[in-house]
Amino acid sequence: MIEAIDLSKRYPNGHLALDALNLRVDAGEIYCLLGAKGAGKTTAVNLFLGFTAPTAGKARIGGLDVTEEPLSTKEKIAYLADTTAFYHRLTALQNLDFFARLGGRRHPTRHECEMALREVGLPESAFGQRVSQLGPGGLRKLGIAAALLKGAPALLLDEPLSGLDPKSAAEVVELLETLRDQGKALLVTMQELFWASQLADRAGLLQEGRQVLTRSREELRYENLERLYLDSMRGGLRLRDGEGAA
Amino acid sequence: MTLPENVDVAPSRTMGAELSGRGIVAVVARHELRQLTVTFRFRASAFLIVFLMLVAAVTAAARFRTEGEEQKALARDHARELAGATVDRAVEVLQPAVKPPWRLSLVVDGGQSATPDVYRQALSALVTPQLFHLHRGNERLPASPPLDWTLVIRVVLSLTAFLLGYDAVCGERRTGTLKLVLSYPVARWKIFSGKLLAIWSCLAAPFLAGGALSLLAAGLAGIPFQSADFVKASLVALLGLWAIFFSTLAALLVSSMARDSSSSLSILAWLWVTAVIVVPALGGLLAHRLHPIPAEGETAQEMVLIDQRIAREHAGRERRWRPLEWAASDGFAWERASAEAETRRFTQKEEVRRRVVQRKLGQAVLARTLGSLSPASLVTDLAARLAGTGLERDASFLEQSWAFRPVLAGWLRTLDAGDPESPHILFFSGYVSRRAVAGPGPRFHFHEASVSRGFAAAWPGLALFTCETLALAVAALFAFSRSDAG
Repeated sequence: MIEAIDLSKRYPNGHLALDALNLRVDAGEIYCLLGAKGAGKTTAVNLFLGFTAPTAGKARIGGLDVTEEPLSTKEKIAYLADTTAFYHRLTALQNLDFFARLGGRRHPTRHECEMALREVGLPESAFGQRVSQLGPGGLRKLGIAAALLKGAPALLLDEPLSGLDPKSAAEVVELLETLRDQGKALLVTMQELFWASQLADRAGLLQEGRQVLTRSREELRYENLERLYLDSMRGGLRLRDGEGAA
Repeated sequence: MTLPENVDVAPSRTMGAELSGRGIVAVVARHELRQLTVTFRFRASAFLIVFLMLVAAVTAAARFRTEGEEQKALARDHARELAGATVDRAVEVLQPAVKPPWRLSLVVDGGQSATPDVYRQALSALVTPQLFHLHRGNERLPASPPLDWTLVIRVVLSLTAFLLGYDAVCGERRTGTLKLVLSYPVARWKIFSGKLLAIWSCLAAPFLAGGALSLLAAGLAGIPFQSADFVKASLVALLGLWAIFFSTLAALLVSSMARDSSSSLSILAWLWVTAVIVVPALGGLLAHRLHPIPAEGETAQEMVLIDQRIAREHAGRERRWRPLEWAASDGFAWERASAEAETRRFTQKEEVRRRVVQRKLGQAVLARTLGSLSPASLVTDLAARLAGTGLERDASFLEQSWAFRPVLAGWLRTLDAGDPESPHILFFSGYVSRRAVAGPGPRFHFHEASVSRGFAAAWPGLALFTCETLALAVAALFAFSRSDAG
């Protein structure tokens, strides 16, 4: 559903932000893309959303090339931003109504919006509150509700757990697992290794734009993700054959 | 935790409920309106627009009434002066040609509250004509431009369009909502159009409401509008809506290109000062340098030269006026020669005076043309032309009042011709008929410019503004299409 083939991005100033990323996320699968700040995660997200053009390789959503068919691929993917990207002067319901209409629903009913908010676990008292009064957890839930109403088969989540308290993070993780169980393909960028090891069906680690390792859920059972991550930060990661090649 | 069973999570295309392009534009516009209308800057702007337009109506109505009363008093004085007068006396009476108070002063004054509105002329070559503004007021009070719709359009609407639009794109980029919005399958031009429509509506609504209320208030306050006035006011209102569109495009262009909201606001503030204050002021300054008007001293010197030339040409015999009984003995020979000399003197001096007035008009036209490099001044000029005011109305008044002299001359010539006792030395007191003037005489009627004439005067400016708007729209759309999502 989500696929990167030798996906690369070099900016006009010469900086190579992403170097030959290869990944594939199938329906009913969560792929966690890990890495420190500046590793190239946000560049990868921007390439999948068509906000910037790759200098080499391809980004595909549902088999369609993002560069060639930007609008068709955006129909197949829902995006959840890392920041609190909602309209703060409007209520949660008003925000949801807008994004549902933007996603193509002609007349989203209040009931539909309320159901979506209820099911992502947002308390009813928050429905009519201005978004500025919601905490980070509430905002992530609102984002997931918007993604749900869009009805896309693939989800792209940029740092969905950043800044969340453990309880909120656990609730969001539970929601993501439910989405996976419903057959969605989820590409999640994150730095929270504990949650990544819990959540990921596959995980990839980016370092300075390069994909230095990938691990399946099976492999993660026997390897310590935190150790791998820290080794990579220190530059002492022992790579398996073929990994980390530029 | 379970997901909603009755929430359709299939892609929207399969729902068969996809919105059309216009539908998405409407959705974005409604969403933007929902946000803008709760802000203080919108509420304050809307109040200010309506308030200023109402004040414009009240002040224009008061000015109209005052000027009307003063012009009526002038007409009464003139009628009193002429009542029972002889033709002999009437040649020296100053006959007023009056430019009536401008009914659409609340829409676009075009300088009518400051430029001359009375031209008084006597038929005697010994009386100097007078061109002046009847309602002088107190010249020691600080002068300010009259408040009208065009001031609201030029100053307030452009500023508020910038205030409402400066963070429309860069503000959303900062909060991250732009990236979220652009992740939906919607063409960027539709989002741009929705934002444009929302900001435009936020200003168009109070502007139209203020316009309607101000016309109503002015009508109730006694300005006798005619049907053509409503057509002209509607044209200026349409121009105002167009100007709001232009300012909004400029705001969105800068907001799309700026790194952050404060940069965007700074650039727009700089643009506003340049367009509204600097360029028109430079236009006036350049016109002053490039097309100077003669100083008072130069004009006075020219008048002295005319006097010397006339004296030289007539060898000192140009001012010989004798009692009738003496003059009749030689058939008024000296008086006829003197009359010819005085008429030549008057004609030459009047030519100088008219040339100075034409020169002033030319300077003002140049200042207006140079100022029109700024869209704000161009809109003001277009409004004046469409409504039939401004420099065109002034020039028309001068032409019409100068053309009134032959009408007056014909009237008195006819009266004099019927008197066999008159020596028929027109128009010098003592040497024409001494019969009483019959009737009030011809009256000056000022003809206002028609709507079609306004269009004819405005079309080059309208073409220029169309080109500027199209160029700005393309630039703004291009900038938004290429802008970083965040």
